[in-house]
Amino acid sequence: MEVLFDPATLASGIKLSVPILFAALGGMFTHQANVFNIALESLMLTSAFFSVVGSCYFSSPWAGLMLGIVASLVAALVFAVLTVDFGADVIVVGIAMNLGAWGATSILLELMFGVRGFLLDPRIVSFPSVEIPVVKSVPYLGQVVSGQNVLVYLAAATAVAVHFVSYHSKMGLRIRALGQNPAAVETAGLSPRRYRYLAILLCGLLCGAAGTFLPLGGLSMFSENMSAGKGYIALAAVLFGNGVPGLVIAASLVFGYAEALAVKMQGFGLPNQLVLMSPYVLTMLFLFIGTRRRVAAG
Amino acid sequence: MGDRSVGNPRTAKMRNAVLTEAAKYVVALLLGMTIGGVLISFKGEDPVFAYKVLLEGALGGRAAIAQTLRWATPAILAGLATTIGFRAGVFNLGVEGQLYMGAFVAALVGYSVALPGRAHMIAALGAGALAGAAYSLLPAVLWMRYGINEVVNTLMLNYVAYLLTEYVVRVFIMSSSGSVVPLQIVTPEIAESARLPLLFPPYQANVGLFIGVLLAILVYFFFQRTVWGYELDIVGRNPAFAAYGGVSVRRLGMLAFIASGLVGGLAGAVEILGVHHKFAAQFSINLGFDGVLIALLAKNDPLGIIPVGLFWGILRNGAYSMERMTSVSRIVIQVVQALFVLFLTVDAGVIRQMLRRRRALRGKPVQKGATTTHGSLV
Repeated sequence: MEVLFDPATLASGIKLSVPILFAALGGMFTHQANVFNIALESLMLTSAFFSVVGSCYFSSPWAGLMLGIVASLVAALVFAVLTVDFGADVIVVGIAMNLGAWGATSILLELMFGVRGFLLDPRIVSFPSVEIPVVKSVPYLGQVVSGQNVLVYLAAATAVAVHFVSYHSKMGLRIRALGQNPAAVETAGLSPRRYRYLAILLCGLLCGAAGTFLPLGGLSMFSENMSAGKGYIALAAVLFGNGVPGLVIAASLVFGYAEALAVKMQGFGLPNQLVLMSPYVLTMLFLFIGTRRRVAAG
Repeated sequence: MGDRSVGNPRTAKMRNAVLTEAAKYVVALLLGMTIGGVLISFKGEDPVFAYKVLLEGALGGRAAIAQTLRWATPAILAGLATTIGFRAGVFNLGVEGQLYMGAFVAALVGYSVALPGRAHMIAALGAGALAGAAYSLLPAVLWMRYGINEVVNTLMLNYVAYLLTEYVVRVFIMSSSGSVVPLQIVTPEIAESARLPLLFPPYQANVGLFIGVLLAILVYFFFQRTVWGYELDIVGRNPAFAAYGGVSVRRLGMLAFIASGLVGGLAGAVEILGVHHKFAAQFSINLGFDGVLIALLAKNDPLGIIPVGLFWGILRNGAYSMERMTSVSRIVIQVVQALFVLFLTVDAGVIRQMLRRRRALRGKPVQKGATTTHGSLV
């Protein structure tokens, strides 16, 4: 039982929730704009690969983050052009992009680094962990919150920022209005197209950070199809919270915590496959609870 | 979705439409292949040569063609499974998982049950199909009864299926002995009596191909000629209208979902009984996902699935031979396939309209205030 509240479990839960959180915050914008976005997965994977490239060539994780974000934005732009301007089906484009990104990153891995499958390279520099001066010495809390990866704190700050953008900025308001009533947005003399693009690009930006965390959040390696469904899990977090930032954040944290707990349970002899399965099962359970709650609330 | 405009007997116009449509496919494929070619040349290989190797490997000779038909079989079945759902507005992205469940159960029946003659094969096929249907039951019920999004659930269940089958085989069938490498986590071989007859022994092409083609034709007639099929189509296009017309949207949606899972399970059973002869963990990444791309290329027309599936067989088999004969990884072809679909979603009409608008803007001096970028008040 004590493993549940073990500071190490909580700390690794927070860490594991970061990629899901970033991607879910991005997916929240597209959800608010009424775009069903399963391409989160491909944006994350694209960014994961290019962040490794950036980190390798400039030996700086920040360069990795930049390149990862740029790559993810380009992929998001492709998604936007096809679905907004050409009216292509979002699910078909999403699946094609996910398969395409898987293939493209695998080939680029081979072309640029000469390896297949995965890349372990001393040139890949991860983001460092940092201690928070005062908090560090607080018992329990210090062990959970301090000493995390830089991106973890960046994720927390981003979550707050996203809340403000979504609820206290014109752009956020308009994106939400677009999802609820596109005609109203048009009547107000605004371009729905523009705000749909903005939502998708914001999503690209945040998925860029999500993807960067996968290789540069401490692992310092890239492997083929590294996102492994995390984009879909993030989408579930978005649907659970129905686009409300607080709920989306909470769902992401729970997913991360569950994953950390499952990894811990492995130490107690729980079979590997069941451990790996748990985030996906939990996602379904959460989606069920979230939807039921929403239905109950009318 | 379904694209069969009725009426307008003016054949010239129709021929024109068909030609435009065909041109779209050719252009999309060429664009995809061009980008693929660039990737191939980065690898230091000649793209023309690589594509030639691909074509020869897929169509040059008896063995090559047999192997192409072998790969066309799961493509047709997975494409069909996806199409059945899409036509009814059910986004079953879990064909991959249903395929795994079908494969696993078919293998189970194939090696552990003794039945005389063809009965064994039919029982194993049927069990596999039912396993796929059963596996689609959960997301179907959650969607139809509780309104839970089926896309996320089916995607999650794909991962659960990979891991669950691996777990069961490793712990209950291999008694946790032996390797932890997925492809070495295998069931025993199935009995001879459960195997699908080969079309041209010793090559792997098997009667699964006929099952797929026959099923595609059946599904076509189902949608074309039966009341249920017609109602399903309406449900897929306009659920509110269907409900208004007295169609039980819920019941039909369930039916389509489960039928989709059934065919997905069958696809897996055919893979095992026809080709692999035993179930190996993580034996077929992405056969199910290919179904989504195939359904789109076939415009959700069950008959269209057959040629697209054959084309997929050519690409898949050709890609393997390209990988053997050159230094190019076969995954290049996965990128070409994805790009083909992405380029195809680009609507040529929209491009023409954009160009026209741009020309019009450039042609005339624009009056101040006369242009709204998006015709909002019209």
